Amino acid sequence: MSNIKKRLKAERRFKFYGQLGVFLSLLFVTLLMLKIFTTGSGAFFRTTIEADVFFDPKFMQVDKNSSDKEISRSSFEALADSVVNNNFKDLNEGQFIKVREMFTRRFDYQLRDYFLDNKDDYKKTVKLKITASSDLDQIVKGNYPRNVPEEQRKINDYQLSILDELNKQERIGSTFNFWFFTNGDSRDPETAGIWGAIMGSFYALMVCLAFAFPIGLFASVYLEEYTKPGKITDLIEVNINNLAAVPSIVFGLLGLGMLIGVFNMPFQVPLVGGLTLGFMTLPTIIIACRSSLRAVPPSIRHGALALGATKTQTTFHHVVPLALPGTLTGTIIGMAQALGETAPLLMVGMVAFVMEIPGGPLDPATGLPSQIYLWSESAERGFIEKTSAGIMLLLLFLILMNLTAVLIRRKVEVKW
Amino acid sequence: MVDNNNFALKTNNVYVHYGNKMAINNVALDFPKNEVTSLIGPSGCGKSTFLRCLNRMNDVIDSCKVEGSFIMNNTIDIYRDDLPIENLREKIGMVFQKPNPFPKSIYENVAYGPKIHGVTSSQSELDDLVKESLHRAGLYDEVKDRLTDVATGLSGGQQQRLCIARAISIKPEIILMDEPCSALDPIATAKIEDLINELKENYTIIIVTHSMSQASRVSTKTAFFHLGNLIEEGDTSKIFTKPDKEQTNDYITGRFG
Amino acid sequence: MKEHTDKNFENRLTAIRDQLSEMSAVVEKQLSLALNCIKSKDSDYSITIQNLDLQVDDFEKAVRDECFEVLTLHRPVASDLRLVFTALKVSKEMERIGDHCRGLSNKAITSKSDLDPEIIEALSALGRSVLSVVHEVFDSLFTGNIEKAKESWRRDLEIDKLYKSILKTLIDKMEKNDSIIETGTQHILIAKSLERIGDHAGNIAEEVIFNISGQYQDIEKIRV
Repeated sequence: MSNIKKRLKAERRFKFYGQLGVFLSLLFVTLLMLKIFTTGSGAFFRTTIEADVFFDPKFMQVDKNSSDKEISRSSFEALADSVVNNNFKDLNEGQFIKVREMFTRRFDYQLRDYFLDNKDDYKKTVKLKITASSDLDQIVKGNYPRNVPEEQRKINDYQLSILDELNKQERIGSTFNFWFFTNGDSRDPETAGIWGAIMGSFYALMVCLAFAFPIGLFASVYLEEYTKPGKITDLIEVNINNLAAVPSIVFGLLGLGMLIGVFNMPFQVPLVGGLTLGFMTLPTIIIACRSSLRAVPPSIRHGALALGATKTQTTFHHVVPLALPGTLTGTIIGMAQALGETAPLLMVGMVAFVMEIPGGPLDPATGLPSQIYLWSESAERGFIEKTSAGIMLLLLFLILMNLTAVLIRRKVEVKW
Repeated sequence: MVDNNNFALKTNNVYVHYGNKMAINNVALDFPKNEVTSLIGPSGCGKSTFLRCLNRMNDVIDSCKVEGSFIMNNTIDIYRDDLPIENLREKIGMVFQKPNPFPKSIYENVAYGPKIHGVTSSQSELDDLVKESLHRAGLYDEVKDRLTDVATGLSGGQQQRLCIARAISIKPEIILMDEPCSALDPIATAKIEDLINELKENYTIIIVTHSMSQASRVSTKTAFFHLGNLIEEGDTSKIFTKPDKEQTNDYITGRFG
Repeated sequence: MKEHTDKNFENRLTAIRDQLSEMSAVVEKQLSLALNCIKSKDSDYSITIQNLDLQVDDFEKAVRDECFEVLTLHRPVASDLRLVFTALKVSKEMERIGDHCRGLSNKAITSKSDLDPEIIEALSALGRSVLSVVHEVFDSLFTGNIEKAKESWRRDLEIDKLYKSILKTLIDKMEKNDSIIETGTQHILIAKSLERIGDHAGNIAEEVIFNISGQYQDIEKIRV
């Protein structure tokens, strides 16, 4: 009788420990998410300053009859300066520079892009929301304290007074920062985007998939269906399991040493990054493929063999199709792992400042995680929120990929 | 009485080893054409192993060594090196203990064998063959409206009859059945047994069964195995009324162990 | 023979065997009492025989029911099936023997005693011979001795011979002496009953041979 009380107590205690553990881990995840979301959400918006823009022929080398190509090539720098001068009267040179600094350096690009779409506004005045510089943006978002000595601020008192004036005139606004999703990297946080990194990761993953999936599938089919159990098979098995546990930086070194060093492949391109990630993912894919091949009941093989099918027919008509859902699930999980991996990319140079959006696996590119790494290393305050936003995007992709894997597993689960 | 032409398969001096373990010890057994022969015996007696020798399914197992002569239709040694195993299995079909339809459509299950062997030359011919095989397996009327449905959705008995339809679709001469009813309920079992009785018109059937009453119902010849030895073989009525060997009597009356 | 894995089945089969054995003892007793009747014409014997016959009838029904249950519930095969099959038929034969004993004892005590002692003696000899065949055949049934069964089957011939000679003697006597026709006919019927008992014993022997060998054998082959 006393025994049962003790046992039930132990039962309750154990349950409590379990609940505590789950609660703590959920707490940490929530805190992490909270931190990332609060710092990162700012990156999706940018501060704008409303200004009257007169498309003054004096400052433009093109007119409304110019072709798109001509417009794209022409400079809008002078026009941008004129906009500053027109909107803020009677500026001396020092003041002009300070005011100009409040706008993004890419002011001219924004004017050009607008003019490309609205050539009829030639010689007309329009109200445009011009993107503010990142430093101003941070002040407006409250990420920079205002009440510190002037020399510790990037925005000096004069600029602050202008800002307050603009605020009064309700010319300071905020707009959705689609640049973040369409631009490549930039020195200026306000124009820096993640699209280049996404494309870099995309090409690298495609290369990784094209390399690792067929090899992984065929290797596991061969190991599972054709080899006889023995010392050599055991040795291979152990080695594959070992490889799956090797730190990713080692694969990065392999990529660097072999692909770049021996085969003289170019530095910094998704092809090399993808192959390196492929080396890393291969054991994961092989392990997943083998276990899903093993899950196909032998009775299916026997059924086909007894009908006089050859071993290859049996394997490719019956076993592999049945194992495919599991195989795909494993592959997607492997891909997700590869997507989040930084170290191999680091070793093959896919962690560099690349402004252009890569157009293919042979263009220099950076990957999502390495972009995040780069931004986190940057000195500008504006990159802090970009870093968090990048992490949010990376997490989103990982969740999507893992969700796909789960859905495939649920949907195509075969009942015997 | 002994007319050699009436045997679909004759075996002699059969030994099977798994590694060092002997599974079949000097068995000689002949299978009369168009009759049902049942192999009975306690678990591990080697009856299934022996059955699997007959279409070389044991070749899959590496440690398994088969010796002896297996002569089909008095001419073909089924273990001859130049006889492709695939051709042999086209002639000797097999139905397994657990129904094992492919997780594909009912139609594809039956059509698979003819497809890989190129039995038919046109789609309509294949359709007819599938229909005929399902008919013979007594399944056609039950599934004719849902040939494209997944076969694993059928009941256990229907699945097993589908497996029989699949086996006969390539027109074998001999059908091996390894405890085909052990996973089925009595009604489904009765249907399969009925089917076996019909099939023996056209096929030689060799069935391994744990159910003595099944052996007595479906077979005309019965062979009793024990510890890898063939203890006794003979007409089923004889085995079940007055077996020659006491061991056989003990087994079929339930005095074993 | 080994025991059944199924104890219930084993017990039922043992019960059938035991009942058959008890029944055979009763039948043998009936027969020996009936033989006494021929000599002594004591009606007490006849009453005992009739009481025993009721027992025999009960035994036959009990064996029949038990066999029926075993057949339905346990589906015996091979030696078990043969045992059940034999038990059914043998019990029927035993019951017939019992009936004959009752009939002949009735006839014996109601007949007049105006026959030659030598006839009575011949009848007794026939009776003894029948009794010994019956005993032998029962023995072969329970010991499973096929040779003994065959031997008792052969001895049926001997009984037939004795019966025929008694028949001939009696008919001769009745031809010469009208007054004994009634008694003579009675004793012919007694002899006939004994001969029939011998036949039943032969039938039992046939069943015993089947029980052991699994097939019915041609009596002519055995007799040769």
